[in-house]
Amino acid sequence: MKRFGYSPTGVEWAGIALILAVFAMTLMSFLPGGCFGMPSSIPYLPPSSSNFLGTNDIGDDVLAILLQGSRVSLSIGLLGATVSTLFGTVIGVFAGFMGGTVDEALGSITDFFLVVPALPLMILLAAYLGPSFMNVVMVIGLLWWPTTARMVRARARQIRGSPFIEGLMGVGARKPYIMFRHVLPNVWGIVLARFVLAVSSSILLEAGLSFIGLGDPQNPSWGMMLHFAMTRGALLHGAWWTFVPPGICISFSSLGFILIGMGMESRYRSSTKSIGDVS
Amino acid sequence: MRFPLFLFRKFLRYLVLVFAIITVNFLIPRLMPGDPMIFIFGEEVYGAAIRNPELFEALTAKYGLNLPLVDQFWIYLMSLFRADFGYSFSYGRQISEIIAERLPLTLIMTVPSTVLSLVAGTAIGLTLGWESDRLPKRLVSAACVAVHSFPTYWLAMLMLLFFSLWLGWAPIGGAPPAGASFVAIVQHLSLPLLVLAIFNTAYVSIIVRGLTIEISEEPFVIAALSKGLGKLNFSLRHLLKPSLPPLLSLFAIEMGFAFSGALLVEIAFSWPGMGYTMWQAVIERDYPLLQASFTMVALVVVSANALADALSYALDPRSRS
Repeated sequence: MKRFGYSPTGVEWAGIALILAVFAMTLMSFLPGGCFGMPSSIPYLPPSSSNFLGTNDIGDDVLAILLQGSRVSLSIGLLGATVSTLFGTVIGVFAGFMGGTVDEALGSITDFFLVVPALPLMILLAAYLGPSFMNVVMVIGLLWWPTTARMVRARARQIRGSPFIEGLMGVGARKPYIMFRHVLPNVWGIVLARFVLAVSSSILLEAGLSFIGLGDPQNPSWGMMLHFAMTRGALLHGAWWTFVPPGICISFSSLGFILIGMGMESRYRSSTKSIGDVS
Repeated sequence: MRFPLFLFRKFLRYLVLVFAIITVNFLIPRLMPGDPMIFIFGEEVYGAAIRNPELFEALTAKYGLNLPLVDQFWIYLMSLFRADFGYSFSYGRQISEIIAERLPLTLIMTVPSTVLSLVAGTAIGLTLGWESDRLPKRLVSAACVAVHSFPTYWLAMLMLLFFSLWLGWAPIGGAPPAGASFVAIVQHLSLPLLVLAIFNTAYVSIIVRGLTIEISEEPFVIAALSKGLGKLNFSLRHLLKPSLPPLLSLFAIEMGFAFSGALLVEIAFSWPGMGYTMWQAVIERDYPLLQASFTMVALVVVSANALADALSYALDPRSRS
């Protein structure tokens, strides 16, 4: 069962992206010309020693925007993943542990969100809510939980059937107590793996929503940079430095988290498999 | 006797799903903060209606906005049955006309690329999954994962930069004009199709590779190999066949994802399909058009799911018992 295993490259890429985001302001102060890059009113300057990644359509330093954008993209990635994992875990544990009607009802809601295309629904909701940082987080968080819920539910169901839960029930432990203290710790492995994978998806989803023009215009993210390159003609201008770097950043930060998540998931799967074989 | 009952129950589920989509679509504009009439008429029509009481009355009566929610829902359902999605102010046309024009343009991109990537991805995934520990195969698998995490529209932008701007091989985007020659149509379609095919092939390869690895550990595989079956014969009969049903159901779930990717690619290529329409609706705040587009996209994806279910039923005898 060696799929991707532990992947150091994933950790590295995600780590670089996180370091970029955390130290963005510090890094920006090292740019020639200070915090916002070399002030230059000349649009579409190609990369040079004063503007390492050139300038965009309004003459802003691309590297400076890229560094600022890293904060927006990654914080939405992390927050969106937190909200969606929280939802998925609560719904999954609840459905898996309670069983019966609760399980069935939650199961059909999960099915609904699994089948309905997520991105178009996100576009619809985000368009109504209006572009803002928290709205993007909420839209991603509220719509990206079904897979997590499903996997957590399966695991919770498995745990529900094990003898120690039966014992707890026999002793008279209350259901919320069992769910919190005994089921939750046992689904932790899958929850963590799903969280890391959700960070990767959230980064991509945020980029997609921003590319469509539903991101927060006050805090331009990497996806927003692609949006501006597309709508304001940088692409037609051949100004590759305005859209190649943000694309690379989106791809590799999301790839980093995917690789970590896949590694965690396959390790978790093999560990639960061996436990299952023993019992 | 089981055959119709099973399918009937499956399709009943899908009907409920479609009903749920319509209900959500009905409720969103009515529950959002702000006057629902802005969302239902569209901003521009609302502005005009505010200044003209007679028009306002007529529109309110048409959508039944002064009636209780249940009656409104009934009116909404009836108009959907008549394929009446309302009026798009940004295009100045009936929405149903716009969609009838643009949905085929999206399908002409998604269907061929999906079929192509299913075939190519299955072949690549089978190859990668068999003796998957070899270094070249691991590199290709890693590349597939990498491609899958690239934003499709960014890939599209790179292609445009390279093939259209620098090499001048393909047009910069847009749909071919009406009555264009076959060559022109192929030129316009080639890049979007290529981007989608690459992206979806990478995804299918990853899935098939995983399934192949899983199946190749089964005892019957060892038995088949020890009988001395040829490699191709073995792959097709013993690796591909058992992995088809899970592949189909997985693909059904990911169909929405593939479709979403296509929507964004359309924007990059200014290809006037559903994605481009949604994009313009977002920019113009044309809520009725946006909602109708979402409904249609959701319906297509749900139908694709139903089709995948029916196919896996036809292919897999296990699902019939």
